[in-house]
Amino acid sequence: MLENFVNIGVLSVVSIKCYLLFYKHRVDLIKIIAKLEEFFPKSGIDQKTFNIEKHRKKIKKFGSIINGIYLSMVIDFILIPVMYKLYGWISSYQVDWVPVHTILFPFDQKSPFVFWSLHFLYVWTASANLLTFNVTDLFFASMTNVLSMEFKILAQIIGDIDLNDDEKTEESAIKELKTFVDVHEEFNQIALELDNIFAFLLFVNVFASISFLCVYVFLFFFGISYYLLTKYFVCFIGVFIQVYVYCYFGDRLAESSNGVADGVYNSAWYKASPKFRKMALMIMKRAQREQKIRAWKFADINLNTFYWIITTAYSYYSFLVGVYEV
Amino acid sequence: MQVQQPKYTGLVADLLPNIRIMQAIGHFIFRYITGPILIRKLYSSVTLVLFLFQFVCILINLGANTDEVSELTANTITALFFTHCITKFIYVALNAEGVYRTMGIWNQSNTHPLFAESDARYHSIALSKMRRLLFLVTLTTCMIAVFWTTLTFFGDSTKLWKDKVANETIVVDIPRLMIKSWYPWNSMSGTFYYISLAFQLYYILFSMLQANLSDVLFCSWVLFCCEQLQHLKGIMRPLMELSATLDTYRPNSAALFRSISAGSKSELILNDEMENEKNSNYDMNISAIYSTKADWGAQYRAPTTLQNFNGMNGSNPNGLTKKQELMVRSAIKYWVERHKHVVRLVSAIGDTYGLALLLHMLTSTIMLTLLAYQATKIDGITVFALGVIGYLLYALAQIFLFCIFGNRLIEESSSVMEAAYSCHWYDGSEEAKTFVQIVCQQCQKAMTISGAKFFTVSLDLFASVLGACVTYFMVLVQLK
Repeated sequence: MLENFVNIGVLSVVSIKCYLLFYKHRVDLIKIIAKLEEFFPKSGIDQKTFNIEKHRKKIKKFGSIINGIYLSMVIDFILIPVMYKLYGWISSYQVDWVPVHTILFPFDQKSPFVFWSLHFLYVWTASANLLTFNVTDLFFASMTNVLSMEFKILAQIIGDIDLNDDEKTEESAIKELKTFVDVHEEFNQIALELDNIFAFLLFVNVFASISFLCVYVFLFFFGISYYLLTKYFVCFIGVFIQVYVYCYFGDRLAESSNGVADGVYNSAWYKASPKFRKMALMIMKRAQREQKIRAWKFADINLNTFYWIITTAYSYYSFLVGVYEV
Repeated sequence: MQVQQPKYTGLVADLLPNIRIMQAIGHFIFRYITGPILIRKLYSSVTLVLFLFQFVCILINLGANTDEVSELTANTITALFFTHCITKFIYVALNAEGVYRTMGIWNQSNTHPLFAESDARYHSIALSKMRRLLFLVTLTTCMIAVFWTTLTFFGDSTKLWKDKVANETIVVDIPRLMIKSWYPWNSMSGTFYYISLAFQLYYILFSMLQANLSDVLFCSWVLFCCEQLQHLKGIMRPLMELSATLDTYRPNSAALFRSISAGSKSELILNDEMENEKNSNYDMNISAIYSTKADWGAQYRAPTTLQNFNGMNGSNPNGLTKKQELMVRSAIKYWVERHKHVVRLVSAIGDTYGLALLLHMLTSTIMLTLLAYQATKIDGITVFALGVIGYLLYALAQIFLFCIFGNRLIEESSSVMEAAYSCHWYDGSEEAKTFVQIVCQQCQKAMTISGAKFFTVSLDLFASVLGACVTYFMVLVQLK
């Protein structure tokens, strides 16, 4: 019964994500990507100064981890009947071809043709689902990554602002600061729009992840189908990594938007005029109110939330164990 | 004899439908009416007596059935459910002065000719939302009463009775009524049965309406404050534009004064100017971030009335008349005074209704714990299961209603700072810049409604209540 619940749950979460991202908010996403592209440093010198390569490497690392997990999931699903048959042949038990999941099908599932076509169908749909998961997670991760990178660039620029005692640099410094405020506000608006788009999705994701985590662990230890152990293990790792990706990048965004205030402080503000200092004060005040992604008004998405998800999933797991033993 | 209706202004006029319905179902609110008060007082007192009578009957039934655990739990839940209604009824009666005072705070508000349009727009938005909320809650309550009555006629109307002599539980017939209650007459059948049925229907509908409508009154107040904060955020940008005309040369000052408070950013600036601003911001490559803004001067033909820089308006580069200058300086005063007015209203709301929320939360916590216990005994889609789920959803929905509005107030009040940052504050006068700084400093602390200082009303509260409920349920299932 729990396996069916998990299958249905995964399918519904995937369809909600698909609908939200690729239908309801498709225009907004394109707008955000266009805006982010405008502010992206394009010349080689800029890219070196701001160390774009480091941010790229990070997202590539996460991307490759996610891809690896999902690839191993698909391969595992394909090979489960084969491995079980192999296990039976080695230990000289008589085992049948086992289906990876149980469905209600009007035809005889024992015949090879039906069995292998159902198996193929399952693997195909599972890989399509996992691909959607993959895409939506990486969407969120890369957009927040680029936005965090741009906040960090802002912090670096304002830290290096040229301030001397003469009037010429004073004037240009004030002008720089004005444009800085405009760009900062642009980034804040982009972060707000991202929050709007991903809010409900993350809310559903958080609660779905908690239930999937606890059910997969429970099934791993107390499940009756031994041949599905690898499936549960790989799925658990997949959900775990997914939750971590969301929380990590949400945390990164909040931190980097906070870093703008540090960047202002890092500049040589003590050399500047009172007018500059007053403007810097306003910027710091705004930047210290960090731009965060929320799970639809309930909670912020940062690494604290990750800890909360894991602990809640564990407490639900122990509850399930308690009920099972009774 | 007074022939015409007195004209109500301000918050009272907005909430008049709510007040009228509350007065019609018996709340002790005796202001804002024409006509004799004595009859209304009599009506409210009779309602109070009837409600207390029914409540005492429920308690007597509770006391008479303490032997059997499941009956005890079910009766306690019913008693707690109607405790809400009695509490709200008596609370509003005792605290009517507080309600009048809160309504009276927004009898009149300051106005400014430049921002009157934005004010009216947000006021009408608030009004429509309040009406919609009132309609939805009243409709839902009536539907719940109907649903409850319908559910009574399904299933067995029996109770469990512990026979002390044989020391076993037997099933005893009770009258098929909505609430299990003792009556001084025999309500098993006949005319007395129908009287009891009608009385219980009246009781359920009116007491639920009473409790919910006072919550709706609270939510409407909070909604009004949120829309006022939206108005203040909306006029931030025009305010900055206006104050900039005092110090620096602006070629389109006449346009500013003409169509000022439309509230949206783009209407203040002529279209060409907006395009130029956009272009100059967007042709940034980050290494040359300091691109200059478009040159203001020559392309715009300013009206001739503004071009006379003669000695009369020497200090002002835009040639504003004395009257216009005064208007600009009073705009900041308007903003600050309106904000202070909203803060006063929010603190009055907290003082008036905070204790009621605290009592509500206390009753709800106990009720939800018992409901969690009842929920562990569900074993299928029965009348019992539907009843338990109905109680649960209703209790959670009540808490969710005021938590979501409290949360919105917190979000709105703390985002004033973000609105202040997003208008071009650096172009304003020195006066405007210090104004923005002080406003930002003050708005960092969000305006909250607290339940008599015990907790703040926000979605965190709802999440913790929900979490506690789930925890109790899990523990009780394991203990079973």
